[in-house]
Amino acid sequence: MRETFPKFIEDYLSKDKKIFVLLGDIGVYSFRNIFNNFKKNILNIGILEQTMIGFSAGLAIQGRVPFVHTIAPFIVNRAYEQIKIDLCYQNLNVNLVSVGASLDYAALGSTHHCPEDVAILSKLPNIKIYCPGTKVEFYNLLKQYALGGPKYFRITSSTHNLKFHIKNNAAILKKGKKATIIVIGNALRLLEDYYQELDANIIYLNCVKPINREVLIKNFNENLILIQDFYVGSITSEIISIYKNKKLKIFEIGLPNKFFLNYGTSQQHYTYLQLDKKKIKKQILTKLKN
Amino acid sequence: MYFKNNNITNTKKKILIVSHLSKEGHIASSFSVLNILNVLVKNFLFKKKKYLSNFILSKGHAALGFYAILNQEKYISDKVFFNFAKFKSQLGGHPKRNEKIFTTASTGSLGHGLPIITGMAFASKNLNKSRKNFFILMGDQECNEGTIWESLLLCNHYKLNNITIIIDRNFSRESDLSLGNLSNRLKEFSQDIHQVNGHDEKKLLNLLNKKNKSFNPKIIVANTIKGFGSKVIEEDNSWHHRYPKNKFELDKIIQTIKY
Repeated sequence: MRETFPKFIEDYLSKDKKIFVLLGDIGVYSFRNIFNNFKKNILNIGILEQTMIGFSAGLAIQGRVPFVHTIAPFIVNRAYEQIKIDLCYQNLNVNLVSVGASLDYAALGSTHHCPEDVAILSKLPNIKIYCPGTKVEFYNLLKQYALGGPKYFRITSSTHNLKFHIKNNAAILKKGKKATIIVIGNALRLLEDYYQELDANIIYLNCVKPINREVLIKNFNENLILIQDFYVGSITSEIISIYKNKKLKIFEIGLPNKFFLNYGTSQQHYTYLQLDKKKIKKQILTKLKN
Repeated sequence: MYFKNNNITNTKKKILIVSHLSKEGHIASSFSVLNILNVLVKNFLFKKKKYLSNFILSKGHAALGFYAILNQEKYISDKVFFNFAKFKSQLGGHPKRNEKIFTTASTGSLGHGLPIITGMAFASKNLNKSRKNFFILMGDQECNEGTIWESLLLCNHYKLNNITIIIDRNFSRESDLSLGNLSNRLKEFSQDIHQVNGHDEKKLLNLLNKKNKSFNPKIIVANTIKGFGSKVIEEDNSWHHRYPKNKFELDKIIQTIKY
């Protein structure tokens, strides 16, 4: 998914010179063509994330459309107050594109993991949060770059392999009776082989703020299973508020709220955390039986 | 002796009244920067009565002072000014971005203004090819924040000599975390650095008018007195965030305003 971003910028910079890319000393190599061809529209600004966000706000005030790019925790955690005040409070059109998501940088340790980005960013007013599940989805979502207000694109190397029509950031993959299963972005890879067998509504979302409420309301089932590739509980309160007067039994599958102290590969982490296809299928089937 | 300015003396009295009415406002910090704001508003922020969108009050807690000068110069009506910090007012205890009231950035949390104006000045000079100048007023203790030094690195690297940084050097928290010789520390970042009495409007104006021939931002370290104009407010630090509680206290404190 990472290479989609420079490709998009290259495609769109030739039509829109207002685009301006700020790299926080990350992804510089993958942007080498843009540095050659559009050097006026890109900066590797250095390792100063808080100032990078404020700087992007200044560019936006002057009518530019900035894209800010670095590893997720360095924007979301390090510059959280700058995102809150400079971008959200002032409601400026700045596009934050992070890499790494929860566990892409498994071997680099917890400083480079960001399973909390959705949870903490979603508490800020005005921001939109996109969790694309494939390269194609990411490219299509990026086309909304000119829309007003701050946007966060959560980019990860683990994608799903399905193709389907997405409308207003949601898709109904299947209808069924026993439950409603909401799957966010790349977490669909954990269900893609067997979701047809499940007797449940399967709703796919690639934007968690704002959530497509209409689709969720239309596909209500009091047994709700929420599957995500970030900390469990990140968007639960938002889901509850959508179904405000209804009884709900929520079961969540996702990353537990802890530091992941091992290294290795992200796949090893998911296996260790029992977040592999087999284990998840078993859990879902048990839930659907009850 | 200080440059006597009857207008400013009246504006200070008005600040006290507005603070009393709203039960809000950082009076001492506003008095500290009132002369600086007076010079900026009268000479650099407006052209033919139109705001140039070229200023950030990075020490947002001096908002009352900024709005008071805008009121004094008739950019903001009495009606609007006297509503300061009320529920439906656009003018708050800290500024909220709104070009209609000449507020380019939302500030209040320190260290946010300089990165933003750096981005604005970069876009203006390098992308829009404009010769517009940008101004920022910061507090001295605001320089505790790392973003100030991060931004100065960028200003140097991208030769942003279209920014003028004015630092309100009122030594308010010097005993807690000393900035030492601030001008010396900043010299690395600017060849166009000056120290001035921040209450001497003539000298301030001269410095601001002087062409910046360097490739760095102009930095003016303006030595000021927090609460300047009232001995009582100058000497009693409780006035950092305090309002005159009743008519009696208001009258009493107004009497202490000397300049």
